[in-house]
Amino acid sequence: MIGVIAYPLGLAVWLSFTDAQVGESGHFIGLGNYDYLFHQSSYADALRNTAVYTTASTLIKAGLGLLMALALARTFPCRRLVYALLFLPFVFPIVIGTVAWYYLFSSVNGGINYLLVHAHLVSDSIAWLGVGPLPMASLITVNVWHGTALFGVLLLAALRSVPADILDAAVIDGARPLRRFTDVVLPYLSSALALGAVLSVGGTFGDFAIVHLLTGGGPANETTIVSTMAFQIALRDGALGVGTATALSIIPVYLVALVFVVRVAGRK
Amino acid sequence: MIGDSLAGRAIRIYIPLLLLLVVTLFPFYWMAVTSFKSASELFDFSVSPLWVRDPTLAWYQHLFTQTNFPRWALNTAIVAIVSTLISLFCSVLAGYSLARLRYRGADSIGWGIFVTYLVPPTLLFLPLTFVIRELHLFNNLWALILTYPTFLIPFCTWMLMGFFKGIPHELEEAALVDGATRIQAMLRIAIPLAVPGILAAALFAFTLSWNEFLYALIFMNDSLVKTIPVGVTQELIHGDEFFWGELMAAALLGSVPVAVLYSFFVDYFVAGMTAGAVKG
Repeated sequence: MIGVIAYPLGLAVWLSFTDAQVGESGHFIGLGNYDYLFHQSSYADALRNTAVYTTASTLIKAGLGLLMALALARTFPCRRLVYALLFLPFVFPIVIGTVAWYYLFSSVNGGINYLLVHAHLVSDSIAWLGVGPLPMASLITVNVWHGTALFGVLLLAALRSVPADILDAAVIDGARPLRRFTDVVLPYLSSALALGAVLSVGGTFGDFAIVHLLTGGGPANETTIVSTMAFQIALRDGALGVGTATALSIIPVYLVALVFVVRVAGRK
Repeated sequence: MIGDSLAGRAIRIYIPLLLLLVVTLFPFYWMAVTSFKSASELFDFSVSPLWVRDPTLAWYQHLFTQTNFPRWALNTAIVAIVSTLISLFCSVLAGYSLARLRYRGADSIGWGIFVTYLVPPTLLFLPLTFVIRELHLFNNLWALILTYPTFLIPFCTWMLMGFFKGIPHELEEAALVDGATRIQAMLRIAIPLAVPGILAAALFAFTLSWNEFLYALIFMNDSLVKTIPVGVTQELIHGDEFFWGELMAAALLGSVPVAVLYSFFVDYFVAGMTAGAVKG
């Protein structure tokens, strides 16, 4: 078990200190790769994009997941079917889901543009994967589509753990619905929110497939995240050492993000 | 107060759920509709792309006769099944040991496994590429069977640890008092009781392997050894040219095993997610 993870990780640390290329082992060059990296403007872009992508996706997933859980906590006809359908994207192959979204986003006969144009909401097709903030918004959309169900399941389980008599007591005491929710229900959800956030940050930080397939980091690095940057440097350009340094350099950021998430979500 | 009137229920339940359902299911509908369109209809921009006029199975036929899709499906199945079995075997032992045996540092190892699971594969793919090259396993299914456990084992162990902890340990202690060995107590009592958990772990491990993209993309370059996610995205897309009909047909077929498993075992999937082990 330890060998399975520790060995590659140790090897990664070693590689990041060498000038290894694809096909040759390379020599020890100390912190040269990191020094090179921190002077690249594309690296700053990748860090910023990773932060935006992870934060926005996680917050939206938490919000929609809460909405989903609150609705599903009630009884209504076909509840089990609705439940199963809503959670389908989470187990569905994300690569395949992303390809379908790519076509939906397309400017040429893409589903979303067709709907918007024919509903007369816009006059011309929108380039969802074109320039500006839209490509990042598209990435976040696919990530949210895929991962909202995780929050939904965790929060639904947590909602079920709220004791009914405490809720009844709050009603008798005259607490309004919003107050009941924030003061009585929400504390019971905090650990589920924290866990969901940790898993979402972990999954989104490490995401590769969605970004690689949907935008490839483009246009002009505007949506490059650290993982796609490491992939491109190491395997497209062949600079294995620099690529590994890119991947490893986010470990401190990642750990800080996780601790922050646990603190914030755990306190609510 | 909105109360439980019809209007109140609509605002609280039906409208949010309907919106969520539409957005959730629209991509699936899009895949299905596109895969049944003829070539001429796909590129006829005068008709609505949201409907199909003359459904045809031509793309499915094409997929089976003109591409390596059947081979990709076979590869994906082999890799997913074998790596799931290997990971499950290791994880049942590790999960049981961490949940039950009192040795120093069991708790910190447990946390260590969770943190390990949170290590993104994006940190490991480059050193693993190095290892796979040293082992001369490029274009060999073993490359995937050996690397998938790096994320499957921590994940399954974490999930199973939770399930084993949920089984009252008095049951096994009673067996130990009656003269059973620790191994017998595990095999005869704990494992049978943990079957739902093991099933949940197996389902997720299979799904994660079936869907895996990054390692398969790097290690498998030869068309005949590709898995479905890699084959579909590399060989049905040529530069800017997308073969949408085949792509969507392959997308639907490629997700059938996972969808079938999911529809039969939805409760186990939910139990596994509630156990808090799955990244999203």
